[in-house]
Amino acid sequence: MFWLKIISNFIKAFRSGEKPWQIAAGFGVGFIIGLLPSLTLQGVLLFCLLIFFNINMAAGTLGLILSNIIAYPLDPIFHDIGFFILTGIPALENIWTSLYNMPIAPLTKFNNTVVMGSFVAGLILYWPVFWGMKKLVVLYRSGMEQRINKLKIVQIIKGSKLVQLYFKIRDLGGK
Amino acid sequence: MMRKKGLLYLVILLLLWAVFAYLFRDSALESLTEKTLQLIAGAKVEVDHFNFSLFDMKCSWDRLQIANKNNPWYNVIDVGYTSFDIETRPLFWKKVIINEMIMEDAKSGTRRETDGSLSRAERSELFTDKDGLVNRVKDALEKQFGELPVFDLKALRQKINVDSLIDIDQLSSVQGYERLMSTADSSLGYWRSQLDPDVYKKRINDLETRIQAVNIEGVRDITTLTTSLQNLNSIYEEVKTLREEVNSKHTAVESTYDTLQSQLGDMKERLNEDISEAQKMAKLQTIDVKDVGLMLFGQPAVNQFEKITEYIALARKYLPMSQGADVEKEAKTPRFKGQNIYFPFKYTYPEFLVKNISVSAASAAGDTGMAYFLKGNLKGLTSQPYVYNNPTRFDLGLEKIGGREYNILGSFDHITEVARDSLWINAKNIALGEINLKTSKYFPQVLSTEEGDFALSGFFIDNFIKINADLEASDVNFLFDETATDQVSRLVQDVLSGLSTLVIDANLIGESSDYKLNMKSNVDNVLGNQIKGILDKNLQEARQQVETYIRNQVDEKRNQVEQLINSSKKTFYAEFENAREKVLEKYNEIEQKKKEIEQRIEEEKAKAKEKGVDAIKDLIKRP
Repeated sequence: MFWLKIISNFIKAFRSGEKPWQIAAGFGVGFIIGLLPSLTLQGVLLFCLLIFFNINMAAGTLGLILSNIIAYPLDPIFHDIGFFILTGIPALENIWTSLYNMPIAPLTKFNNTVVMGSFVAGLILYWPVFWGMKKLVVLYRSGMEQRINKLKIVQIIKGSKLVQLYFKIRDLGGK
Repeated sequence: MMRKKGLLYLVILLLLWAVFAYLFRDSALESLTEKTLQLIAGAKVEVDHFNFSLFDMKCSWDRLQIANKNNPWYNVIDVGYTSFDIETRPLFWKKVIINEMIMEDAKSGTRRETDGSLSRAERSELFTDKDGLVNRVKDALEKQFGELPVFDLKALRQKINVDSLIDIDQLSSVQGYERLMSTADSSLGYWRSQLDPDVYKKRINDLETRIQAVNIEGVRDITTLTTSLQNLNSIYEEVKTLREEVNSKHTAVESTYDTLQSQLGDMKERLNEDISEAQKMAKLQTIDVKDVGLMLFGQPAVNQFEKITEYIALARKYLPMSQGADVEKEAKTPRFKGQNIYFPFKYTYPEFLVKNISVSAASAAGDTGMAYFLKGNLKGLTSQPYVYNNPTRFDLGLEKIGGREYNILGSFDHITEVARDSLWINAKNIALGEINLKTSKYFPQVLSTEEGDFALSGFFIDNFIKINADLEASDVNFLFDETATDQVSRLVQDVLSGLSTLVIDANLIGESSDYKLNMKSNVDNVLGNQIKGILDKNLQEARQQVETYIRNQVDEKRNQVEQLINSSKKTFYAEFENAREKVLEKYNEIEQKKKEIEQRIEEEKAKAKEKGVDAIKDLIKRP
């Protein structure tokens, strides 16, 4: 029921309540955390950010789950990115060496190619994800919902058992 | 902008973690410490109230007890409250570095409330040096002791059952003769096929026929004579080739016989080795004076040396050399693992290191006059000596008021792949008590002595071991289980009873699996020579019995080989002589015939010349 509650909260936030940027920021932060392959210091800090700041946690959790799923097939690409960043840019070598000698380094696992690659990819993708999500929320609230509901295909789908279940889940969080 | 609820979540999370860590961390560390020390000590280790404070990075325990594995109701060490600092920075890399650990007020020999023996499951986890240094030393010494001469007068007097003792087919000389027999058989078979007398006879007869065919009787024609000479020359070449062939084969056969004879000679050397080996098997080596010390005091020395080697092997396990060490464990990264990139790291932290442990202890005895005081330190105790780059050293002193003292110094250098360990033990005025000796009806069972001085130095470089131990004991008393019944027993008891001091010098030296124990003592010469005198006569008889038996068995084999070689040799050489004579005969015959024809040609030429001159003269005379 925990997961249903998250989805319900997310849908609730999507339809009304919180501001679009709060939902988008939550989703973006969760998205970065989800891309990271293991528990790292930067992951914990981002999680604290999600808890401390007034951004949507349900969106963050959903972003985390979704990005974690898509991260699996993308790991080889993250490895290539991380390998390039860690070894292919001579100018950064001194920074990495200094960081490697700092006590904080083992907690960040920054010297792992997948950790580095996924973190950098997450930071880069944050803005498009944030922007896209914000637009989606605005569009949804500005009448998209009604237009979508009028479509014949939606009517058919709404009648299906699966969608009935969706309504039930949605209503768990109140209309 | 900030969410108060979020802060609350975080505080709750932190609190939960703190409670969890508080409840389980100390007991987990306590259990880990106990288990690790148990594996090293081989007995129960108990740590009371282990405490690890994350805030000031301090560790402490209220009491640490290590049971004595040989006497599990007593502790070998019992340390009270001990606290030590852990360096913070290395912890980030999961490395535990302790600068100073002071164990004051440690006691030894305190009585335990529970039995300190390990359970069967715990014992199964203990270190065993299977196929390692200890076993190699053990095996080598067992072999050495097994080869010591028999010291049983009664057994020597009995007739030895050599048939059951010696497997004649396994003797090296018998095997050698069999191999030689087969070699001689095949070599001589080859030459037999090459020197078929019929073939030679046929070739010589053919030549004879061809020589006879060259008949110059009544021939006056120079051309015919020249043709005959040419034929004879051709036969001559063939005879020459045959002569060379016979000669070269003769040389080759001679060389084969020389080789076989030389191998036959080598076999005699082997026979002596076999005799000596068989006498060894029957434990009939000549008694050497140095063996007496080994037979008398060897076993206790072996026990001590094995114990020391066990400690060295234990140190090599827990202070491993760089060989086979993990360079750096990979950080755990689930999903696709990725690759860890290593940058220059300026800190060299081993996984675990105690830079210095200072111990001061006293035995549990209430009377300080009877108590032992231990003082010492251990430097550089680490799980990765090759990272720490310093050997582990220790210096322990044990003293008792009134003079008894022990000093143990050691160094375990495991920085490279080759372990270099050394150990020095010095003990003065130590109580030796009763030492069990090897069981033999001639020798004492127990050596009892009041006090003695003991010194040991041991060097262990990889598989190489050199241990030297000296013992000087006073007021010695040898205890015998049986009363002397024969000459040897009486002699041993007489000599040893008159001894008041004992001086032993033992050394173990060797490499890989070839270790030898040598012992010298002040008993050797006195006892050795006298025993030798008594035993030698019986020993020599028994040795002679073995020697005669082996010589008879081997002689039989040798005769077979010699017969094969010599009989064929006569036949071969006779055939050769025959062939050589016949060829030489033909050779001379042709030579003779050649000369005859050449002479005839010259005569005919002269006659022709005369005839020519007469004809010219007739022509000139004609008007």
